[in-house]
Amino acid sequence: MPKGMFVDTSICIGCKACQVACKEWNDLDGEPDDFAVQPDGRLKAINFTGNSYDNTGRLTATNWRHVRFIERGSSLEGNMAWYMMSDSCKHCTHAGCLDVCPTHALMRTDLGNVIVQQDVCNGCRMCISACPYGVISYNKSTGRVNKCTLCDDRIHNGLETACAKACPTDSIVFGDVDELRSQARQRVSTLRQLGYSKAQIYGDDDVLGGLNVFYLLLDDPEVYGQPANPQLPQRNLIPNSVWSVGSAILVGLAALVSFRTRLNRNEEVEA
Amino acid sequence: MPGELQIPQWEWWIVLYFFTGGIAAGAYLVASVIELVGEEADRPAARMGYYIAFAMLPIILIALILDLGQPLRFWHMILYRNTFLPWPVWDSPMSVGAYALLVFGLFSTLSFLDVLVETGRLKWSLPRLKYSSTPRLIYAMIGGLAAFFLASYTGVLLATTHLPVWADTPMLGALFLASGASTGVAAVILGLVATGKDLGTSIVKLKRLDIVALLLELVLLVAMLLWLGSSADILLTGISGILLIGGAVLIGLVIPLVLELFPGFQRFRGTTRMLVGSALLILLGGLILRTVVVLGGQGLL
Repeated sequence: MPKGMFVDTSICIGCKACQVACKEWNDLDGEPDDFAVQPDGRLKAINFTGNSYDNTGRLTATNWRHVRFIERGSSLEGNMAWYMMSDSCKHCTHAGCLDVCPTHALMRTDLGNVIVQQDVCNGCRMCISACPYGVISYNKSTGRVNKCTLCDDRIHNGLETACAKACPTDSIVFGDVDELRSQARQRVSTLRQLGYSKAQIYGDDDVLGGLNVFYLLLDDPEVYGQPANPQLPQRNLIPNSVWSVGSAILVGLAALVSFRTRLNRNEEVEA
Repeated sequence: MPGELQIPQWEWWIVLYFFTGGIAAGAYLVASVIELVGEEADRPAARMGYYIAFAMLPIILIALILDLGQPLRFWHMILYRNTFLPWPVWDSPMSVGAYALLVFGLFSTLSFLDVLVETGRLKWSLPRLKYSSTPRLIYAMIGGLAAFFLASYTGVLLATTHLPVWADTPMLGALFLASGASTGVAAVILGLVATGKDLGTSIVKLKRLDIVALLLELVLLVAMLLWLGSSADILLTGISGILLIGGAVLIGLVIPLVLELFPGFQRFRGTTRMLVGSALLILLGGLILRTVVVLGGQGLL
């Protein structure tokens, strides 16, 4: 039975407790890009994104969770809306990263979460742009890639994920994916009755075979920076291979025609 | 990059690998075709193809290993770390490519040793028994197939991502194959001229093959840019644009083709200076093409 998380963005208050808990439990360093070394050797925070209350910006090798702040409309026009979304690895059922990893460093555990085996990863970085969500990040200091593990150590010892544990509003709930999905559907219908006409689940079976970490959104996925219809990177394998074979046939024929003895008799006489 | 996609940060080592891998594959292809269907007069060209393919192997290995975040774990590409057994990933061009490179490396080494025996440079008794006559046809067949794969899979590998320039066209593998062939043939011509071989009809044939490869490359490149539409902007603007149009297209494709095909240059054709100049332009163009596609495609130029 796969385990996962249901992230109900409609009750997220943007407190970032999940980010802090993730950093604490997984012992993640500060993001090097977020700090500058001053002449006296002290560090100075320079991670001002200028984007609402977002001071993380994106998922990185040391930020496995990122609370997005999306400001919509305008308070002057009376239609101000402030969406928050605690983003992380979705632990996709059809995971592009896992499929392209040449070393099998990326693997799925018995609980359905996708992890990077740090003793196997050799830092080839093939997985990075295979992820349609930009989740996997290269860690220059270790020469390997990192991402959320769904708190692999915790969940295999009967605990919930650190972020879910820390979430004060239960916006992040950990559990069996099937149960979480029915809980999410109920919540969507409630919200729609309340007038949130665009309330929707992102990550049901229609997205990459189902995301084990899925979301309830109040607007379209693009508003939250998520692709509406993410694809597997392998979609390009066959068309590219067919074109390559075509090119190979042309080059091969040209080489045959150029060097085949019988075809070159006349040329030799001329030469 | 659009949305939240991250780039793999493949930089100069990968450019170097794509370039030298293409040359190795192209040179071996020529050699293997001569081996299989050619005539005795072209054997110096075949030998040069084998020499070049073999000479590229250490560069390829060094580039690929040093690009890794954990270079000492390069063997994880072939053997799974936890069982020490081979475990190819068929959906991953990088995994299949690693095995193909192993096959190519093995057979281009065998072909190289065979040439050493043939030319009397290798005197050991065992290789002399093993590496002659019939086996070399088998090397050429298997190595030639691996060379086709090696020349194109790098483009397919880039396409197995979500980065727009790489993923939005099906032609990258085909383009890299054509470019590998043109640069490989150019390297063979350069090698033959440099070693002062009697060029004879081999050069005519090599040049004819190079013209086809260059024309194919030009057509594929234009088709790819048209196919990409607005996604191609990242390749056509700024430094990428200057390099692509001025370097890859003009220097690497158009000028060599004009020199070969335009009647006005008839009297220079076949001169050593022209052969060397043309080959160098083609090689430079190939390097620039890989640079623009790999670095420019990630927005790193």
